[in-house]
Amino acid sequence: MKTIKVCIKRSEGFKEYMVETEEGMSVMDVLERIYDEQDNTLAFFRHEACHQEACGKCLVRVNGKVCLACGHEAVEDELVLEPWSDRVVRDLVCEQP
Amino acid sequence: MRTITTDVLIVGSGGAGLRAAAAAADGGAKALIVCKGKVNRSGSTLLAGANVSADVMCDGRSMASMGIGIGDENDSKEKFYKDIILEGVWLNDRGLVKQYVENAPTVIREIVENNKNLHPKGDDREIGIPGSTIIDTYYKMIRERNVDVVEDSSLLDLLKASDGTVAGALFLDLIHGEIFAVNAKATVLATGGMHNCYSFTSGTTGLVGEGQAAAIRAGAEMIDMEMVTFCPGVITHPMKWRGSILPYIIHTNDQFRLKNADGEEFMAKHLPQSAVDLALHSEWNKMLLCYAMHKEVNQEGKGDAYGGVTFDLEFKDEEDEQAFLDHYPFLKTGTCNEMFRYIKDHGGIPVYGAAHYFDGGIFVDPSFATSLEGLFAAGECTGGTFGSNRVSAATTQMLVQGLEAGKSAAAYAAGAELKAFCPVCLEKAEKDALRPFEEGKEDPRKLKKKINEIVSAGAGVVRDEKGMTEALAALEAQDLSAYGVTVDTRAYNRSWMDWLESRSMLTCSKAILASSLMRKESRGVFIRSDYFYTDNDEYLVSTRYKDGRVRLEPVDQADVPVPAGRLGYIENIEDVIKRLSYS
Ligand SMILES: Cc1cc2nc3c(=O)[nH]c(=O)nc-3n(C[C@H](O)[C@H](O)[C@H](O)COP(=O)(O)OP(=O)(O)OC[C@H]3O[C@@H](n4cnc5c(N)ncnc54)[C@H](O)[C@@H]3O)c2cc1C
Ligand code: FES
Repeated sequence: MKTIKVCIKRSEGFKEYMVETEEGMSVMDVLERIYDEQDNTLAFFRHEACHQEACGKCLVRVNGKVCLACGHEAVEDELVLEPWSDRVVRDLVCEQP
Repeated sequence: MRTITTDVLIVGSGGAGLRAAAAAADGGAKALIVCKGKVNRSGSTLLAGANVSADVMCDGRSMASMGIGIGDENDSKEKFYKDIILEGVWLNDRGLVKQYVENAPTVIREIVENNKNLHPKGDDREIGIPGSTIIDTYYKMIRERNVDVVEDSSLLDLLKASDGTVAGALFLDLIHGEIFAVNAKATVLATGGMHNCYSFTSGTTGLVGEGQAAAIRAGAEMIDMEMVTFCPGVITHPMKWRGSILPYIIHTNDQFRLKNADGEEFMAKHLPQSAVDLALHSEWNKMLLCYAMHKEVNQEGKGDAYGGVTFDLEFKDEEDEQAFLDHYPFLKTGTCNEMFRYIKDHGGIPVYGAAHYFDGGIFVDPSFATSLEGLFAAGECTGGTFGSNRVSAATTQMLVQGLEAGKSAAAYAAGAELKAFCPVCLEKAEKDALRPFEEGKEDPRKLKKKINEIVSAGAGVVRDEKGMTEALAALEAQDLSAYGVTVDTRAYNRSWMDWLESRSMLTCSKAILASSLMRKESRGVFIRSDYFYTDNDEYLVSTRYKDGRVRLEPVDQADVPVPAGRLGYIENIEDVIKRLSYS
């Protein structure tokens, strides 16, 4: 168990969250935890998610690098999460590829 | 409101939706797919066989004719047909099984011919290929036929014409928040299972039974809604792999062990030796393993920290391990390899039974027409094909049914005119979808969790009268109007989606529980602790749910002899297995 800092680029600007994580959580799990416990206004891809790196829909920029939120394990002490493209719809959700 | 017109509307783009769209186009219809996710990467189809090895099946003799070195000349369609009915413990709709068996070779041939470089492994009746390969085969087909596609859009309601015919559907573009309509001469539902009514599932997040719920709201008849298949080897932890069925895919007779929190094996405690053998050596493992796991966790209280048990692999020596890896080469690389290493390094991986496949669903006839004029359905959102237990492939089911439903819908559309929506019906559907912007303040996410808890407790692997009655009452007590959006925007509004999904979950869950309460016996995947026997005198019936009420309809017992009387649940399974052509 460790507490990490997660900075998310929302439509209104960056917002910071402190999140308790455990081993084996993906960035998708972290986002889910933030939505559940701290901020139910956050938008990130979720509506038809495979969770298994198979659909390719959960793209997000993690500490500068575009990756799949479900495939990236949240091991860093600090995460900066940004939309993966410039065509942002809301928060981390972009026009779909 | 923006309205798109087409001949045949297909909702959903798993194997059933894609195959239906291609068939509709071949039938001369203008076809449009509207789907919740990505057209070629969604639904259970994508995850079939953990996207490494999904079985697709037909009879062994037809398989032998494919020229891929797999099959069994001594098998026949007749044997395959009878086996499916025995596996379903006599509840199968015979017409649907016939259609399945007859058309299975056609779809296997399509897959084989479209994947010349694929050298599928398999045995007498089945080949094993990744779910995405199945999708790619049929995605190519719809592109060649210029089928129109709208992605990231969720079905809100079916829309009827003034004469009651289904004339299309209302959708929400989830990304931008626009509500739009599709006006069609015929509509095919192919929305997959109701996985997310349960808290632990192996399906994608989009599978909540919205097609079934829309059909129920429109007055369609449902069949065998109580029949839910749970998959025993689904990862509960680590969180990033939660929901993956990889352990199930690699569970083999010799190396795999299931252990409780104390590290003890427990199968023999809950099942007689003959049933343990069945669970380990036959395709009937899903329900028997889930039953034993359920007993160990809920009755003995020996579950682990994640509410389940441990799946472990034990190898005699390095050679044994190497042979295992050679048998499952996908374990040598990528995430599958990470999972394999985790099992080795941690003395196993936590697993439990997850809601996995829905044997019941929308009632259809062998042309895949539903009880509503203008509405067809195919694949896992339908019911009846596998009766009370599916052993044969659901992948084959989605393809043969999609094929037929698309054909039927195109033929129907050719003889039909495009009917205008009944204005009241359209207005009501839109108003209903917008309720969370007008009504309650509570976060609908809470309601989803509550429904999950109620359904998982009341309609899980083992059920009883008290638990089901309480669960149904608890569902009836939920008040959608107390919940509303947490942000006011329409663009990618998760709370709006949660509200809409909760609405469907409530509808489907009530149907599951009401149907369960009517079956006072255990059969196939349906297990009751208070009626732990199979009753062929009273319950060779399907449950039919419509407008909130359930009736029992005798299942025509053609072709496969059925013994009269009652037999203990396990004894009955043993008896059925003896009758199979492959046992
Ligand atoms: C993990 C897993 C492994 C499996 N492995 C096997 C196997 O090895 N062999 C086998 O035979 N069977 C297997 N099954 C079962 C089999 O994969 C499914 O029964 C089959 O793929 C269902 O196909 P379908 O097209 O009916 O539904 P799905 O493939 O589930 O597709 C449903 C479609 O409907 C869409 N949809 C849902 N709701 C809406 C909505 N509101 N609006 C618009 N679109 C919507 C979805 O996004 C999706 O496109 C497995 C299932 C799972 C979950
Ligand atoms: S959710 Fe499908 S790839 Fe991440």
